[in-house]
Amino acid sequence: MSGSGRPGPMLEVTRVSKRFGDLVAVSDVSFRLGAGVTALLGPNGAGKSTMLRMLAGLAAPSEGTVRVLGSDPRADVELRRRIGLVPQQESLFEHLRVREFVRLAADLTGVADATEATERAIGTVGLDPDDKRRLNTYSKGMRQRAKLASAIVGGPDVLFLDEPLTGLDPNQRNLMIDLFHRIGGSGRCVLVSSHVLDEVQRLGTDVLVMGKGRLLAEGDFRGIRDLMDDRPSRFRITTDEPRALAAGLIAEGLAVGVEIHEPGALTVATASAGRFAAAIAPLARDSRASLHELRPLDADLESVFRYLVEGR
Amino acid sequence: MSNAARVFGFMTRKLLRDWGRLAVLVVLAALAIVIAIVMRTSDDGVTPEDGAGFLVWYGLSIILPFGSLLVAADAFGDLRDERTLVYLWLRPMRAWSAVAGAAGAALTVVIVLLVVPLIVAGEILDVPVADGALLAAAAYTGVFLAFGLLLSRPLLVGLLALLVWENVIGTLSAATARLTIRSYAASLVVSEGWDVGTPVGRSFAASLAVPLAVGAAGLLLATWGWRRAEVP
Repeated sequence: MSGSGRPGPMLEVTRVSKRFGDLVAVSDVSFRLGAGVTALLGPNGAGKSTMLRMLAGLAAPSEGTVRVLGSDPRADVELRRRIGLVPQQESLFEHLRVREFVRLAADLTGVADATEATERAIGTVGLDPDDKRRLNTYSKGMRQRAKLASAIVGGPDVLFLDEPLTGLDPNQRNLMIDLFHRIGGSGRCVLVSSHVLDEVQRLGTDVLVMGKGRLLAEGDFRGIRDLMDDRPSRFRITTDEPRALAAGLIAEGLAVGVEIHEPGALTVATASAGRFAAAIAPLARDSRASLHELRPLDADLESVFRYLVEGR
Repeated sequence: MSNAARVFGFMTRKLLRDWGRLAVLVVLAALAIVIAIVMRTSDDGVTPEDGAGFLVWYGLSIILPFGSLLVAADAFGDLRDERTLVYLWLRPMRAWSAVAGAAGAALTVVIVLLVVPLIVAGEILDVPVADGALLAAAAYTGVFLAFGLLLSRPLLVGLLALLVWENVIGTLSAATARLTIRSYAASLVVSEGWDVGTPVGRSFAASLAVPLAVGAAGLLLATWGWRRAEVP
């Protein structure tokens, strides 16, 4: 709860770049984040993991500054007490049992009641603290959960999760997403990277979109969609008078394109979603058309992602 | 319990889990004892000088440096290769705690598996090898621990360093021998006038100080490397 009401951003990234020889993994990225769950979205190779590694202090930026809770995560050793990380790699200390693995993290973090904290963290992720099997026998999903238990055992204020839902079954994914929201809702900052749109959509609406090492967009993805003013918004309308409504939309200059695909249904492309939304009901009334359904077709994350990352 | 002690416990357990490495070290160390027994019981009447020659050659020039390399370079090197170093590095502990814990673990394994059998072999041959072996183990462990943290192929580089530095450059002349750990360790083992195939004759103080300084330099380098590491 220590993040609750915290003034200023919990994460502050300013003009950060990271180069590996000639390869630019992250290029001139800036953003600020506060408490809550934010998804770091981008295709493989977008620079998400490198960004998370710099935020956790595991790698130094080639340029720019990273501040976590106001400190440099690479220089401030004590800050690591307040940071949790689930790295992307599957590897664990294979010779340990889950209790030993999480307990080691608790001990090295200086958790007061390490035994109790260890059992609680393992239980939170749905594993058995008394499991006698070693980690090298664990499935991919169990390994992900063991990593998560190790990351949260110290009660971090900032949690970085690199593709944490990989390998989990649908039920486990739901449990983990609920957990992320509980942690984010308690005033902590949770940054979750993923390249799977469905996952991100379920994590919430706040996103950072990365592609080719650059930050392409940030904020509520519905707001990001509204900013794409060079791309018409599309709506699906079902009505008993599709032709009359289509004619009215074009006559009023509300549509840049109308398609009637099936009886009683049309797809409208408009350059101004706001003006369209305000005018459609009066226009339907004037056209003596009943509106059965009005649904935006591209206000979802996938549309935003396609546009930003793939340019279509 | 301090973080250094926790890392020591974790690392000792990890190093002892590699059965293949353990088997190699145990066999090499057991050979030292077997050969010592054979020499001692032979009809030829082995002298302490012969025994010292064998222990300097086999113990201080082969199994101790190469065994230390296998253990110490892998302490952090394995974690880097397996990409599990992150689980230690991300904890709020000072660099020296991690390095001291890992160095203690590596040195303990080297002492138990290699130094103690060499001491036993020395007892059989009436050669006091303990001081030289312990100091050499400390020096090699410090250096190779740093290799594991700083180099992407620590075993290969360490192997080349041992072959070229200790076994070629160090044997060129008495002057270049001063640059090898083996020369200082061997000086504590042999008596004046003995020929053991390795230039010796370092002063007692230098024989103590140089290996300890080399080991300490290795630990400092490892501590620096821990702070500067780009953790995979």
